[in-house]
Amino acid sequence: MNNLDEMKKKYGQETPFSVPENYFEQFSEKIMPQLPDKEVSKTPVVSLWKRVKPVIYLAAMFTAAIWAINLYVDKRPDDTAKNIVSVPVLASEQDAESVSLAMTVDDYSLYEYMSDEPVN
Amino acid sequence: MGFLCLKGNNVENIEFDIITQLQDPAKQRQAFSQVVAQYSEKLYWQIRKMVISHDDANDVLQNTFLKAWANIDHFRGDSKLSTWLYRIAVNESITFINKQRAQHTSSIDGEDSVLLYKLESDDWIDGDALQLRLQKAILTLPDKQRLVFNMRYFDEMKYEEMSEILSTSVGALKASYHHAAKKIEEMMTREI
Repeated sequence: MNNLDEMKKKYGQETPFSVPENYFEQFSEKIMPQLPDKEVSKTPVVSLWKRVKPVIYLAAMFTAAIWAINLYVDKRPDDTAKNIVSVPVLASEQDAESVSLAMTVDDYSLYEYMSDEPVN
Repeated sequence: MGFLCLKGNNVENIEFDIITQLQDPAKQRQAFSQVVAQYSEKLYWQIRKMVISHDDANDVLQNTFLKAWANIDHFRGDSKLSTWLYRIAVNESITFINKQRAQHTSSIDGEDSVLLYKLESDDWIDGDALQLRLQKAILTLPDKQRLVFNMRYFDEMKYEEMSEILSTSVGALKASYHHAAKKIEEMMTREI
């Protein structure tokens, strides 16, 4: 920058400031003892309780959830139980076979089957 | 030569070594003594140009290193060590000047009376009349402009380096320097 160069030529770059003799050497010697000691950060000791706490909390929550579900299931109203379709206890294997057949065969197949049977 | 104009692999390697040692608690104090030895003079002259008096510059320099020591664990090498130290020195200088101004009356005809008094009375000022006149003209500038002018005029610091230290855009620094130089030129011409 021309303006800067012109100014430097006219007024120079020197400052009128001075320092006592050996100031900088002595400064280093003076400042170091003034620096406070730093606390050496030790590895924090984690107690047993702090280490197992999350596991215990998790186990407690799990237990509470199981207990709550059991409580809910046991206390269900009776009418819901009534809606459950009761399956008759079958007397024999033949009955069971008949029921199984009735459940798998549609109406048309049934009529067809009945019409093929000889009339007594 | 500018404070931050230290170039070359050697200087960078030295700085890298110092930063590595500063992060090791066992070597921290020893490394910091190297920092003090390496940067105290450069920081001193920057502070001195701002606070004018030698005793004040000495106090501010001490505060700068005490603050740097207190915060050295937070320095992670994102910026140059010199830039970081320079920033602390600038902040400490401005804080110091503001405290002084708050304690004394200030600003007579645009000049800073506290700093002007120190310029005329400090034991460690022995320049010629022209140098003193230039310093008086610089004292008429606002602190930020004075800072920018000192960095550019006396230390020939690059705008990019100034930008890092002062957290100001290069454009704004150029404008600030231009205004400062113009004002000083006018002051110097008027007084001749």
